[in-house]
Amino acid sequence: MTTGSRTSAHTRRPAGPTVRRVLGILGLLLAAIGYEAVTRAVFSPLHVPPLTAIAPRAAELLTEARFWTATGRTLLVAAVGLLIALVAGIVVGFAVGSVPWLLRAASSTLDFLRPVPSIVLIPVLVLVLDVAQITVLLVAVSCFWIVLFQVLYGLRDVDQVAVDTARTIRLGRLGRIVHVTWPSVLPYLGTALRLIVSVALALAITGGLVMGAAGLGELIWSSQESGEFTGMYALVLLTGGVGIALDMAARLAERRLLHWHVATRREVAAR
Amino acid sequence: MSTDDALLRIVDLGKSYRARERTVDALAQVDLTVDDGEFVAVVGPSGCGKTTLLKIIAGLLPATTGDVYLAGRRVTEPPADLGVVFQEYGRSLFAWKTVRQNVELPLRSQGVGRAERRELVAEALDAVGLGQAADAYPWQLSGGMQQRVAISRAIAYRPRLLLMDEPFSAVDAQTRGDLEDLLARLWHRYAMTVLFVTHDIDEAVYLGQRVVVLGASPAGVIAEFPIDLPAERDQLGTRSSARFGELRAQVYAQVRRTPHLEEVAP
Amino acid sequence: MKATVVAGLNRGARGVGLALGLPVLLFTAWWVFSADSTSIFLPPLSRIVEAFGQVWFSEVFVRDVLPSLRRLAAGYAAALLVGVGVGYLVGRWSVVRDLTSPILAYFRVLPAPVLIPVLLVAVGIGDATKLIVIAVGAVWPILLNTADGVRAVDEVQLDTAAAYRLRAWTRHGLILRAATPQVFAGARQALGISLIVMVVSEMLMSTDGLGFTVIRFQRTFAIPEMWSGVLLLGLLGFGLAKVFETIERRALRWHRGATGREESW
Repeated sequence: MTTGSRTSAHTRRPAGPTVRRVLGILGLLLAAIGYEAVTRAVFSPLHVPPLTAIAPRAAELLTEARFWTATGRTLLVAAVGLLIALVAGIVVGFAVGSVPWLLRAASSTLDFLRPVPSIVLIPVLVLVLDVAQITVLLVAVSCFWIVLFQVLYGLRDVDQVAVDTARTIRLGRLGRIVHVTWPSVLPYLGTALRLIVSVALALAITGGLVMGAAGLGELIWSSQESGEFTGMYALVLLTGGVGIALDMAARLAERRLLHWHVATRREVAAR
Repeated sequence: MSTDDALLRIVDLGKSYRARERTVDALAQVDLTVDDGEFVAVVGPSGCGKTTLLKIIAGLLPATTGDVYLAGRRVTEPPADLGVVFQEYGRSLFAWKTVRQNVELPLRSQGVGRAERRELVAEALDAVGLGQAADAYPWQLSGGMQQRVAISRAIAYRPRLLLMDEPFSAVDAQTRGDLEDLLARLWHRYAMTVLFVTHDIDEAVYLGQRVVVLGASPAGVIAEFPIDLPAERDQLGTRSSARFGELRAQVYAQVRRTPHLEEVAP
Repeated sequence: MKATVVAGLNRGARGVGLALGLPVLLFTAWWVFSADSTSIFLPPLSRIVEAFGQVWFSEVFVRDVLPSLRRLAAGYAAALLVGVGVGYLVGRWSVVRDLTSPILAYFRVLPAPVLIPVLLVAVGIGDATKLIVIAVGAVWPILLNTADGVRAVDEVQLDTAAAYRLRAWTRHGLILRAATPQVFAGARQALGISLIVMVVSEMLMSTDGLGFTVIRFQRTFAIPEMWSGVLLLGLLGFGLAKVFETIERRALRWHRGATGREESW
């Protein structure tokens, strides 16, 4: 019989962490060698440079001030937009989500607006704001929807028993929010944080690509326009690195947030 | 039909798991023979490896030592002529398929023709009293009814050996009694061989022609009891008979003798 | 029984009222407050609606909207095919998963729009580039979610399939079907991404398409026309999301039933 028919317990047994890490590195090596071979065999080194050309250029960029300035600007724009989105999303989410009739009245409008890609605003905003402000706004709008809906999901998920308990011990409205609602929304905010970090980076870079807002996107686009292709590939490679760093930071923050959340929950339960 | 009376032969079966630095023996030296047409109930303390045994018989897990023979052939993969009913009815049925499609699926895969398939499915559903629910989805049914669907799927498949892994432990007591009687009727009607794993001694004595007791880890067969109750059994009469009480006590004494080692569960 | 149906109807009617109320209110407010607007950047809504009819119900629809939609559909379809296929392999076989996990982690966080200049250089300017950009941008969420879903398929279902000796292809089909909730979650995310990538790629490198046309209107200060394009893009995003939702609802009815979860508040 085929190996696929062998039992689940067989084929699905996970390998040890060391084996998995070795396999992961092997996979990266294979991909690098494959890319190198394909670029050398098929493409012109000018348009699709091999990794052996990109990697040294990336290392070089790491020593250049303009790369770090651009990265800093992109991160700043992303961070400001993200912060606005978090505050606005939480405030609006709690306001709408804790009033049932308001939620029902607003949900169709929210459903309508959410799938509208925020970049459609670019042509409108270009007329009235500067590119850096627009980029912040793009980041903020896109992330706002994610935060808002996660807050609404979280509010929907509040344990009714916990609410009733809070009522019986005569907690006020504020007390209920602090001790019952907020803790159950927190894990959803953790999820939102993980999601919006990469969205924020993507839009901060899009703003640079489309409108030339200073930062990594603009640097990439200008490398492309000036024909400095190897540098462009190196920048894209490094952008992925920035993404990974941000993702790790978000996961760390989420874990912190949830750790605190678990502690709070226990405290509430122990009352 | 085989002339050999033993449908299932388990010889010196052992199974050990490797968990981190140490090996855990789940089964050791299991020897068991089940005759064609027999109803054998296997009981043992929880975590003693009953499910492991059943998965090895079904060809879903490889044994570490020893062999399993079904109708004279060594089991290395899920054999034909074998139906399995799992404890987790909700998870073993495919939620996106209707009751009918669930029952039909193994037949389709075996290449049974459409007309014959329809007949087999209808009969199997009627046999478990679900003729009306054929077009419902499993999740629209109660737990007991879902387990009927799983039984019906096994019957439609016309297995020579039906393996059941604590099939009724997740339903309420009333439903459980109904399902036990249903199973007993089906066994008579289809002349199947049934190997029924349970942790419930009453259930084992009530259903089985023979009760096999597995010891605690590493589990092996520590006792066998022929159940000499009349073939026709019913929930009230049989369970209140003196003989039922005696058998139940004998089995119970054996199970009690083995220490509970729940932490050994794989 | 009857009482609950009536109550449901009532709630339904009131629900529709509530659902329509706010959008109608907002639209009316925009209409009224922009009526006397003299700002060239904020033309009266009536002018925008007028421009909408003039611009989009003309040959512009064939010249710019249809090519955009075609690229979007083709790119998205390619992403679905590759994402589900490769995601299945990654989810099903742990060796494949271990080999690819660092690479996948990298592409998961790499912002899709940076692929536009890369493909512009590598493949050149043209329809193929835009299609590939959409596909490459949208493939990751589908791939990763499919892999997660396939990996999480219930052991009991796999055992059942094996015990009843289902054919290999039937079994692959069952596993994929069991993973559809996650596949749909990824596909939904990918739909939003592909729309964004489509517009951005048309803004950056195109001679036709929705994104290009809107930018052209803005550069030529055809402001009501530009607004109408923004409106059309918004409607497109909304419409696609609704179509997707309808398909998802139908395909995942069993999942909502089996998990007892409804997707509404």
